[in-house]
Amino acid sequence: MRRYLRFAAPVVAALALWQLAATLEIIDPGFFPPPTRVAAEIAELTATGEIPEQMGITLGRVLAAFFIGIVPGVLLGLLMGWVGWIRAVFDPIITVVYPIPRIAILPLFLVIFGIGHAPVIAITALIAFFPAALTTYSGVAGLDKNLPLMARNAGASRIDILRTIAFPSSLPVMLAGLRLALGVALTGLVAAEFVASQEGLGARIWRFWQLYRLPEMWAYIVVVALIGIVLQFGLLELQRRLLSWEEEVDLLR
Amino acid sequence: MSVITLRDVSIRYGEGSGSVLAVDSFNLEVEENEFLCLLGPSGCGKSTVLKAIAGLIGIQAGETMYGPGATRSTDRFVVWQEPTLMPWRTILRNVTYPLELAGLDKQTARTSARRQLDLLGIGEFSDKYPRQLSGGMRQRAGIARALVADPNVLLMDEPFAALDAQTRRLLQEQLLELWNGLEKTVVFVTHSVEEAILLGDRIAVMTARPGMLKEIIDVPFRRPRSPDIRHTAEYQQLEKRIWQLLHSEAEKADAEVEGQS
Repeated sequence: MRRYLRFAAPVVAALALWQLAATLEIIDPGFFPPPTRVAAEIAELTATGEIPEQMGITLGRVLAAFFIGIVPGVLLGLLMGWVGWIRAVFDPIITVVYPIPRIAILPLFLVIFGIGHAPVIAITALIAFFPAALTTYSGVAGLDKNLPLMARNAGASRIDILRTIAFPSSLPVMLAGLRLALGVALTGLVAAEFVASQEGLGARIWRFWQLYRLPEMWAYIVVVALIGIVLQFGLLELQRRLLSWEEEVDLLR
Repeated sequence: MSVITLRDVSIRYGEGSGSVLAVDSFNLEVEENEFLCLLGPSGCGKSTVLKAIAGLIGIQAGETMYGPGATRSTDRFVVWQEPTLMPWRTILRNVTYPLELAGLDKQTARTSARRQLDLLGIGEFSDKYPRQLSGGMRQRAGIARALVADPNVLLMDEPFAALDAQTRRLLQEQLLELWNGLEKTVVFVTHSVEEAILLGDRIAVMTARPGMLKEIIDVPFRRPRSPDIRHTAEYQQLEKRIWQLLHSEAEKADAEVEGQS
C-alpha cells in the first residue's frame, strides 16, 4: 500500500499544480483545461456510453494485435535465442526490415483490407511485433550459457532443457518484451486510428481536435493514458507474481 | 581397467585460421576411486579436458574411453566453477534436479536432497533462492547436487577458485571428509599447488597451452590429511618441485602472450 502511496503522491501533486496553473490562467485553459474539467468531461462521456463504446473498440483492437503481433513476436524472439538456424535465418531479415517505419505500411494495408478494423489491427500488430521479437531475442541471448551444459550433464534431454532451463530462464525477458510491445502497440494503434478509422479512442481524439473541442479531446487522451497505465501495471504485477525468485521487482518502477 | 582413459586427445576451439589448439595429444588414465588433481597454468586447457571427460565438448583427435562405471554421461557429474544453479529454483529444488531428470518421485528426491544438504551443513537454507546465499553456500549446493546424483565420477572444475581463503579451506576439508566415506573417483581441476597437494592422490601437471600432460606426481601423504602437512619438509620439497614444473610453463605462456602483443 505504501508503494502505491509513494507512487501516487507526485502524480497527485503534478495534477494539483496543473489545476492551479489552469485556474489562475498561468497556462491557457483553452489548451490545457484544468483536470477537474477533464474529469467532468470523462464522467459525462462515460454516462452517455460514448467512452465505454470507444474504449471497447480500441481494447478489442489491442487484444487482436496482441495475439496476431506480440505473441508471435515473443515466440520468434525465443526461438531466435534458442535455436541457431532460426537465428541465422531471421537475424538478417529483421535487421533489414526493422529500420522501415512500420506506420509507412499503413496505406498498403488500407488498400489490401479496405476501411475498418482489419487495417488498423494489422498495422498495430506489425508495429508491436518487432519490439516483442527483438527485446525477447536480445534478452535470451544474454542468458547464462552454462545452465544448458549443466542440465545436459545432469541428464537432461533437449526437451528437458527447453522445459526446465530455456523456458523458465527466458520468462523475465518474455515479460519485458510483452510490456514494451504493449506500450508500443497502444501508441501505434492510436496513430493508426487518427487517420484510418472512424471509431476508437484515437479517432475520437482526432475528431475533437478537428472540431476544436479540446476538453473532449483531453478526456479521450486521458482514457488512452489510463489504459496504458492499467496494462503496464497488470504486466508488472504478473511479473512480480511469476518472478518472485528474482531480486524484488519494484512494482512501480 | 581405468575409469577414464584419454588417449592422444586434441581439442581445437573455433574454425579456420582463427582457431586455437587448446589441448594437444593429451594422455591420462584415471584410476578407480582415486582423487586426481589436474593442475596447470591458467589458460592451459584444464577445464577443457574436464569438459571433454564429461562428454560436453567434442574432441578433434584421439579417443576417450570409460570404464564400466562411467559409461553413461550422468556417471561423470560436473561440479562447476560457478555453481551454475538455477536462480528461479530454491536450493532444495536445485539439488533435486538430477533426480527429477532421472524420473525419481518427488518425495524420495526431496528426502535425499535434504539429507545431502544437511551433510554439507546448509540444510536450513533449503528453501532459499541461490541469490540469497553466499558464494560458499552456493558452491555447497552445487556439490550437494552432484553428490545426490550419486555418480561414480565427480568432475570438479576449480570449484573453490572464486571463494575467499577461509571458505575455501573449509570446503576443502569438508570435501575430503565426504570423499573419504564414499567410493568415488574425483578429477579435480585447480591452479593452486597447495590445493592439489592437500586433496590429490595424484597430480597431473599440464603444460601451457596447448595443454599436454607434463608429469604425473604421486602425493605421498596419508589420509586423512590435515593442512598441517604444509609444515613438513616433504611437503615443501614436493611443492618446490611442482612449482618448478609450473614455472617453466608459466614463462612459456607469458612469452607467448608477449609475442602476440
